[in-house]
Amino acid sequence: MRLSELPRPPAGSSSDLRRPIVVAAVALGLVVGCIASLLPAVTGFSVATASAQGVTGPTPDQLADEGLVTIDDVNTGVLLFETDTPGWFVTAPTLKTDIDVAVSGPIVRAAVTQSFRNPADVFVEGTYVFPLPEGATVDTLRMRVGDRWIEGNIAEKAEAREIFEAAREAGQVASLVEQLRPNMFTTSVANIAPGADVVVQIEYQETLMPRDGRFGLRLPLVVAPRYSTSGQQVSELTAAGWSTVNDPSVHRGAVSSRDDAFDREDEIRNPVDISVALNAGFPLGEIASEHHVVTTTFADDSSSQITLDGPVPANRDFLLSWKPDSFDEPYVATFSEQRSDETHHLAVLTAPTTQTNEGEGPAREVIFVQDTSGSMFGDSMDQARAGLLLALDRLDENDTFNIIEFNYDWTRFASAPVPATKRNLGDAADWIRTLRAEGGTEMLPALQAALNTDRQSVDEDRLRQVIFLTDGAVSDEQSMLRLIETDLNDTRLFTVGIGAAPNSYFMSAAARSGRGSFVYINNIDAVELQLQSLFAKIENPAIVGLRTQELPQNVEISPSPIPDLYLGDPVMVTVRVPAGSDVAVDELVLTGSSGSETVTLNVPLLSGEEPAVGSGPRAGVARLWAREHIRDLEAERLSQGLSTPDLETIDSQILETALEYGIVSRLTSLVAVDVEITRPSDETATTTSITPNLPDGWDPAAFAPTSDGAVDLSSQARARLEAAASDKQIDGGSGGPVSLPATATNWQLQALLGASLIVGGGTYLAGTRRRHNA
Amino acid sequence: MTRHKRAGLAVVLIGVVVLGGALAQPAKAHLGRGMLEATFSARLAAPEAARADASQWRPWSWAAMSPIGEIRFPALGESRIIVDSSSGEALAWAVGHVPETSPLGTPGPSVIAGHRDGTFSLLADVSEGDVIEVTTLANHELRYVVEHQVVVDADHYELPIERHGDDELVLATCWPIDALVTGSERLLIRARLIS
Repeated sequence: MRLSELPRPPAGSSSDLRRPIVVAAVALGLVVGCIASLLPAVTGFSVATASAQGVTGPTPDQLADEGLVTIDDVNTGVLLFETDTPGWFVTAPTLKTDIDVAVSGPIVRAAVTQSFRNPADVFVEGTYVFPLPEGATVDTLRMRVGDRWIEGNIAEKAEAREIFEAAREAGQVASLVEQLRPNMFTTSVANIAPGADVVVQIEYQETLMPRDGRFGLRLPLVVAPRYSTSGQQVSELTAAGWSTVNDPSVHRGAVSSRDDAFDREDEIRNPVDISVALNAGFPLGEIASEHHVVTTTFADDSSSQITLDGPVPANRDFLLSWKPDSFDEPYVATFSEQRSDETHHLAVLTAPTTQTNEGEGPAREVIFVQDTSGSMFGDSMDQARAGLLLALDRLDENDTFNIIEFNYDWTRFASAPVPATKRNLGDAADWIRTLRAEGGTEMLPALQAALNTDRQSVDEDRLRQVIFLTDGAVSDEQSMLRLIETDLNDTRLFTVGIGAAPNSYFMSAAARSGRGSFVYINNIDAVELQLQSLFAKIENPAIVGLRTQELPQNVEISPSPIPDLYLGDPVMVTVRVPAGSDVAVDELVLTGSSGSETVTLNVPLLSGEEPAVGSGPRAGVARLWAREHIRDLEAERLSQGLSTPDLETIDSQILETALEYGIVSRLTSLVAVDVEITRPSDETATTTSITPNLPDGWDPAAFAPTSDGAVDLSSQARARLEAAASDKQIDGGSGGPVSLPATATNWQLQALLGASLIVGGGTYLAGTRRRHNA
Repeated sequence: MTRHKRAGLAVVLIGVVVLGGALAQPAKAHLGRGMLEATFSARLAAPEAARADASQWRPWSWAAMSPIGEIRFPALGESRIIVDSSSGEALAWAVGHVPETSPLGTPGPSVIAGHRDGTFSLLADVSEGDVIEVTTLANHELRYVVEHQVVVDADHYELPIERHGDDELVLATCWPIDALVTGSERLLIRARLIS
């Protein structure tokens, strides 16, 4: 509001009229002042939305027809080249893909080697993108770009940034491996010469979680699904997908090579070779390959080698699943890996697949804690309600139960857990139907009630299970975790996250300290199904309360405490034995209880050299140990809160572990720089071409030149790619430092000033009038 | 005598206009919100390619900004629309993403600025460990956890911008939050991406 906009003061008014005029002017001024600055918004609104429909430039459909993709289309490892349309890329033709997978129990280590070619007649900059399975991390990166060699190293974040900056300053090629979005590995590759080949090798590790007793391995192979305006059809494997694999045979229909949608890929399709060394850690039941014809060779009961029957076109994701054969005794397998001076072990404990003491599971006390805050409104609440009703149905009449619902406050079904009689269950069902989702989220008191005050009687020999269902934000993480640590006692806490954005990080940490498990359900339609399988599982704990007998010093076990074993659901325990331990540790003795019996599990810890049948030295065990260790440290950090001095100690432990084991973590990242290639010393051999010695650890076969494949791009895509390359030299990329904008209006001060002027002027006017009247 | 009256009236009227202008600030933040929210949800509902062009998504025809996201503070039960400008005019209506910084949901720090006595007065109540949720234009839901808070002198401080490294959210407002006169101090709340 500027002073020039001042309304003119009314001139020569009579003194009787003065007061109303002043009042009116004050009111008018206020209204004008406010309205004037708001008016544009009010009147302009409808205009703006009406004009929002038109889009300029080529439409997505056109771009897709030209063979361009967006990052959302990327479903497998690809090398992307920028085009003149921001956000749209050309995928570099893939010449070959090799995938080598070693499965050790739940650990998957995969090495993916891919060869690409720059089909353009110009130097281009590319971005290698690889979608990773949930929870997987890349720890090794090697690239050959023309005749340059690039290798990734794990470094502390700040240091990684320095290396990157220094390399960039020096004109070297470097790339900081970035997380474009969670579970999307990307690295940029500059200066790819026309026609040059790029070979990328990454190694990643993931830990599989069984679903319904079945392990599933998924290798994404589909290059780029065609753009579809109808929306995403990318994830063909839903969370519940593994349970739908019913075909017991290893063979499934061979891949049909002519698919209309993949006509274009026909010309640039790359041959894929896959081999999987599967060492399940338990006697293998069926192995099924969903889309590909494979050959399975069994080495023994629990391990086999799976290979494709010749290279296949990359038009179906590779899906492999396996499950344990049925067995009656707990099964223990160990995998070991020596790293520096320490020996790392992974023990995979699998409960029998069939209940030994037929019939009854143990009597339980089950407390359901249901989030009924406003964000649950709608489908989430309907599904949760259905899930709860389902859970009630499954209760045995020996069981007792209670239900706690919370939003800004909490209430419970009964003042103490009640027996699951028909009558009580009926009442509970009625109560559940009345639950409405509204209000805030105060979890702590509800959890406290579930763990403590709602305990019926301590001396009773019941299995206490708390099932915590929420969709939402957990704001007071540290108090919650502390509460779980102090008040858990014999209770088991199972957390269920529903919807798009539950705090998975907290919820899995909570389940970990709660000795239960975390189930994340992002597909709202699957809530009922997945809850059903959770409920079914926890009805039958096979071995509970597993503990190690006196452990020699320095031997570390993670997770600690050890989770319970449920039927056919393996649990993994990692162990680290430092070098020079006075006591040779060759066995770990675990005791727990199965019903009323005490069970002893002997876990042999191999020194690493002699691979026994079904067990043996396996890559990835040490890293798994380190990852589990970091998870423990992170959970500890979370429960400490963010203001204790211990934080630095924990952070330095995390950093130390991450660097020692080469793991990308919160504090470390992967930075890739050129490596020096040494020429062989006998350079005098002039007649033959000189082959450089590969850097240490590189597999010559993987980086050998690829034979020519059919390489083509649509002419429009080529044009867009080359147009972008010519624009490239001007673009600055990373910006410099920015200064902060002004972030105050000082309207209170202004209002104060305005008010004082009114009061001052008014007082003055009143004064003059009084004097005048007197 | 009339001279005195006129002078008095003039002072009152100046006061009125100044007060009106001042009160327009909170009113703007309040009223603009509904329109920005409506525009943002319309933009999210549009096909991806139609979302990109900012000029198509002005909340009103001569606005110099468009909504590009929403930031939520679950612990406070509050949310704000984020616009693509941090100019004075834009910040009067909403909180603004500083365009020179990393786009939301990409590596490097993304700075969001807002008025301490307006849209971002709530930063006074944000504490370490709080979760902040952001919906981006691509309809991605990002979750951040507040890692630390720092007060800097804007006259001598420049935020280093890298397009690499952590996806970090930086919320900026003037400090002290309840001051009457603005100095050069700024409160920066830094939050780390968790999912």
